[in-house]
Amino acid sequence: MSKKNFLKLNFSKEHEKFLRIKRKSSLKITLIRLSLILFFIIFWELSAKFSLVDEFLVSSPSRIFFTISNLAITGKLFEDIGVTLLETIVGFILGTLLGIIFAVIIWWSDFVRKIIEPALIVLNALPKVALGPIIIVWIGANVRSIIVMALLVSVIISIINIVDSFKNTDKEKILLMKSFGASKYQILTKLILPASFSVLICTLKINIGMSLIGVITGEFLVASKGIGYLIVYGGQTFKLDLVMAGIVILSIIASSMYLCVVKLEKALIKRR
Amino acid sequence: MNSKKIVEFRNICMKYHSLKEETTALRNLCFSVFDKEFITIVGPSGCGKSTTLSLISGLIPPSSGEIFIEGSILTGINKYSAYMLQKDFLFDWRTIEENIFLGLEIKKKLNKTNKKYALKLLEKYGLKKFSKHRPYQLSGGMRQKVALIRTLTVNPKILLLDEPFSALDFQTKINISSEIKKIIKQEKKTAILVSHDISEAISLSDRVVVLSKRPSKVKKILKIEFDEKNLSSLEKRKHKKFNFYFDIIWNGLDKT
Repeated sequence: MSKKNFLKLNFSKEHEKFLRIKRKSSLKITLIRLSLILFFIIFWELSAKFSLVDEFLVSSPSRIFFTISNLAITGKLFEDIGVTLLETIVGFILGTLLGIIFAVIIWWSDFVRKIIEPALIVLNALPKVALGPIIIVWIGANVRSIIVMALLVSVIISIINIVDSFKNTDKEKILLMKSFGASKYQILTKLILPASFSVLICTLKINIGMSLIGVITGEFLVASKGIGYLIVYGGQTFKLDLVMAGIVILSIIASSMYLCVVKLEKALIKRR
Repeated sequence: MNSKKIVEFRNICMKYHSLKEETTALRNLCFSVFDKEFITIVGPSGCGKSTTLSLISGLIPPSSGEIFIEGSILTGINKYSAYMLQKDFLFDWRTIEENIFLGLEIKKKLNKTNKKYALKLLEKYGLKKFSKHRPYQLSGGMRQKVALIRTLTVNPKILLLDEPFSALDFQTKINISSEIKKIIKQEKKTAILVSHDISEAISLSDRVVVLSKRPSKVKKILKIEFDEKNLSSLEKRKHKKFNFYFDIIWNGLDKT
């Protein structure tokens, strides 16, 4: 008997009815979401077509589609996406890893925490774009500067969030571990990190957006390739179709990365 | 119970320091716990009952005085004791089986023999079929039993029970406390329970230590004896001597 049939046989009529209602509700939500997007695209297209809005200023879905198609034909689109994606992924991984490492250091030593905490608060409040010119002078007008920008934007908020989660771990659970004679390393690996699982996943989700902000800001400042450069170039040459196309591509990149983190989250939950 | 002292407090003082003040929690605390004895420490809120358990476990050192464990002065973590706390504190990301292995893992003693012993305990106390379950799939009472088994797997001589039944509803509390007392006696452990509940103290303990309000010292040590042997906790609660003991403890407690 297949697993599906086995499960089916075990459900009562009431439970099947409950599942039907749940499935119906989920389908309804998806359909409404898609309809809203479709309505928005059609409304935008028709408004541009019948000159209700200035097509030069707001572009139109068909013009964005053609712009993306043309970029794809020349091969430039994939090159730009590749550059931005690489910078974002490297910035995202480095930002998250460094965030976790610094958070562990701060949790480990109360003394270090007391010294570093004020600096973290100031750095978090500081708009990172202000550091752009310094980074360019120090590192050079290249990909490394862009990655550092992405890292700077994501690392501080990661540290703050993760340290907060570490600090909020139940004190009595720590007492229990200590009563068994647990070392600080054992408390970290067997309690603190697993207990902070949801915050770590949440940090990953936030860092996708943060890394993209850093990369696009960096590309605005120094790049000659990438989606950020495409947007700046489009703005400077009044090719707003290009700007809109860039925004659409960025949305797709952000959504895809978000979905990857959701998949990772599901896989990790399954393994736990 | 025999006359071998397993824990001895000699003139223990405990002071807590903050920037604003110094608080004396315990002053010249003296009492002993005998091997395989079940004692309960009662006293007003904030009198230092939980501090007493932390001192026995070696998690905090006393400000002055000496604690003897099996005749030796305690320095550092007490390797003979294990804690059971107010809540079960089972880790949601671990199965029941993995939860009961926690102490063994920490002590780096997770070998075949110890695993077998831990699983045997689970089987002995009717929880084997839940070994692959997650804590959230168990009732509050079952979870507390798992927490006790987690404590027993490291084979401690002394069990430190910090109000382990206070989070349970009344009915579960009566059943589980009675069952846990039985398990502790079967496994031949010494137990030190901290509780606010006088009835619980009388129905479970061989002796009750009454602490005064802060700075605490021992006000009274009461031996609990019923004429009949092997009474259950519920039977003790119904016994005519129960009220007698209750009045003595109640009158001995500082009310403010």
